[in-house]
Amino acid sequence: MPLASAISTVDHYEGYEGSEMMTATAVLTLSAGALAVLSGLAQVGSL
Amino acid sequence: MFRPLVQEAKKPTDWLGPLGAYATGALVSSTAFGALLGAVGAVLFPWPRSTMTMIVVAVLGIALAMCDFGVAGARTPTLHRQTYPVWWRTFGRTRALFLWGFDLGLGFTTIRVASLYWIVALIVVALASPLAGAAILGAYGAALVLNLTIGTWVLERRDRSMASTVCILGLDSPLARSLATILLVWSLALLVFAL
Repeated sequence: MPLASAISTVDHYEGYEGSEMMTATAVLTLSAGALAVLSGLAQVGSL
Repeated sequence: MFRPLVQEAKKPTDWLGPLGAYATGALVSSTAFGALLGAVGAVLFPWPRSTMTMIVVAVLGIALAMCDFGVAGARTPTLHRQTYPVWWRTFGRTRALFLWGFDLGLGFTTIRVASLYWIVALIVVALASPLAGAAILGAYGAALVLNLTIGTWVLERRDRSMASTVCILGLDSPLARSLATILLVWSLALLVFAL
């Protein structure tokens, strides 16, 4: 494989992984925040 | 001379001090615990997050929802403990409310009617970021404060012939089912998103 093609493949792979990681992190963070608020609002009767 | 321990606020602003103490306790403990869980996650799971993380969280969320629904005799994981009412007499109103807020802000030390909190704590560990952990569980602490202020106000006006605590106890069962349904739907949606 020519060097330029190899570098391009690696760049593409790392870009995909980075994007996937950012999406996963954003989805988990936002949904965790929403669930945390819901959980706090629903925590009745323990006081 | 005997006097009632709990007295009605004489001025509308009398509740601000105790509420501030409760808010401080809840926000301090929830934020600190979130940061701690995030730091623990960073030590235990140093590799980058991926869709596999989402799949694991979603599967555990489904399992916890099944526990909440009582499938195969499973029960919601919880400590059967409430905050100590004796703190009111021991420490006084403001300190007691601070301690109650601190206790509830930790999330895991008192009874849980559903597993939603556990999945949030799991996500905080999975995200492995102390900052994100502090923000997420800080939101939980803020919701507890909102719960106390708005919830009590609404319940007391819903039916003045019934004490608000009785109303709250009556909400436990439908609330638990609703939260379990939300957890199940959210976990399934996360699984579909990850796949």
